[in-house]
Amino acid sequence: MAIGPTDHADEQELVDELHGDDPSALAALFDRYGDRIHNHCFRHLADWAEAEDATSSVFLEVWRHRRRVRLHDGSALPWLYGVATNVCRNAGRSRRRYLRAVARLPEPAAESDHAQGVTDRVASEARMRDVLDRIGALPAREREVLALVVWAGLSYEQAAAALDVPIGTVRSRLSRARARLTEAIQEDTR
Amino acid sequence: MTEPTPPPERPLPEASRARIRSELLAHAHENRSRGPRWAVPLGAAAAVALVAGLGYWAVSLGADDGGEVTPALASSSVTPTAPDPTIPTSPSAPVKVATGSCPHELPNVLPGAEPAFDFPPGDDGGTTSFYVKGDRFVLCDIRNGVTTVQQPMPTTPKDDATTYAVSSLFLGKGNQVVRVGGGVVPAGAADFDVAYTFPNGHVEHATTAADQTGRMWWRMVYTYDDGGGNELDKTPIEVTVSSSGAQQHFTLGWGIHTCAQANHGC
Repeated sequence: MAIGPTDHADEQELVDELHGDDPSALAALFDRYGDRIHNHCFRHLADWAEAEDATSSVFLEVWRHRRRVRLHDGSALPWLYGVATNVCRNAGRSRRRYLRAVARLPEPAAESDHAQGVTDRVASEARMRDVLDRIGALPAREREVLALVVWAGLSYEQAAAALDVPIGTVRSRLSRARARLTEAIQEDTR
Repeated sequence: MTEPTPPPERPLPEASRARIRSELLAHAHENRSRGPRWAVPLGAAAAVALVAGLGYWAVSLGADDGGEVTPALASSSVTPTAPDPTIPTSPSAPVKVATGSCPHELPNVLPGAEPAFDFPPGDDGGTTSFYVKGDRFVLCDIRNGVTTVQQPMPTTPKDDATTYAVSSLFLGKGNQVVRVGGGVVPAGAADFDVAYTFPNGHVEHATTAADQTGRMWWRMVYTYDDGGGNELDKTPIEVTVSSSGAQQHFTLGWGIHTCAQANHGC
């Protein structure tokens, strides 16, 4: 998903308003990028409900650090992705601990659910869990670059801004991630 | 390609979008200035929602979870900090309101939306317009020199309170407040009516009209003196929707369903 120039034509004004303590600027930023951040968080958590909570937390953090919001090539999105990456990383840690605790509980009775929307949602979460399992062997920093560049569609420059690392580091992490994944696929097919 | 492919992206559900947005606005207002009285119910509503939503993390954050939250370029941590002394806390801090035209305000809310229908100006000179993009619309109301653009809503209305949420504009004249609601009349609905019962007992009925394509729209505007004080202590606004001989009742939550605007604070 490319970040086009029309997306942030007036973004400097929006950030100026954030710096000026204007809550409506936060709402406007959420209207503009809420969906993208929501999907980014989902790709970390594989749970749509948790991704909603995480999205809310991301924008609460944006307000808390509103004076630090900065633009990259006229867009606040890379900075937002950076906040989201950190929020979701922490949420993921908590979730893993929670799941370990839940795993020790008795198995709940199975419930049938006929709503197509729920079915799609569950299937989507299962697929994302499978994807995360497949990249689970990658170091976290390589997974994050993969999520930003390959899944969220950020350029190397934007991903570098989001993670505050040099562009070369983004390139090398992505290259290593791809090499590891290729190797894993080859091992699976042997 | 060696990377596994995630499932297709999904938009935030409208109800979740409205809830999060309302929480964010309430939180931002609460942490910006404690002065305006309208921030009290919003803050309280947000507090309830935030405690529920973030409680899980708050409980589960352990000693090994000291990771950063803001991006590395901002170098910050999750540890709560003291209030930022540079944030203005004066009770008299003005609320920034929008005064531009609807087309000027719309790009921040629903870019690319096209005009669909205008209700004729009322006695107070206020106008209400509807704009549509795809399967969503926004209501834009210009009244008392302020342009209010509400959050995008689906053109196929849902049977819940969010469909009847109102924007609130405090006029700064005593405790005068303008509440505005509106939307699409469900296709095929006969004898459609939306009646809002306000805390002062007044019942305001929506007016309906058809656009050039035959689509019906409804709009409710009511200005009254809400008496000041904490809204959470007041009787909530009740909505009765009549359609094809059946009635539905909804209760609007203060802050959650009374702050439908997208382009300025409550």
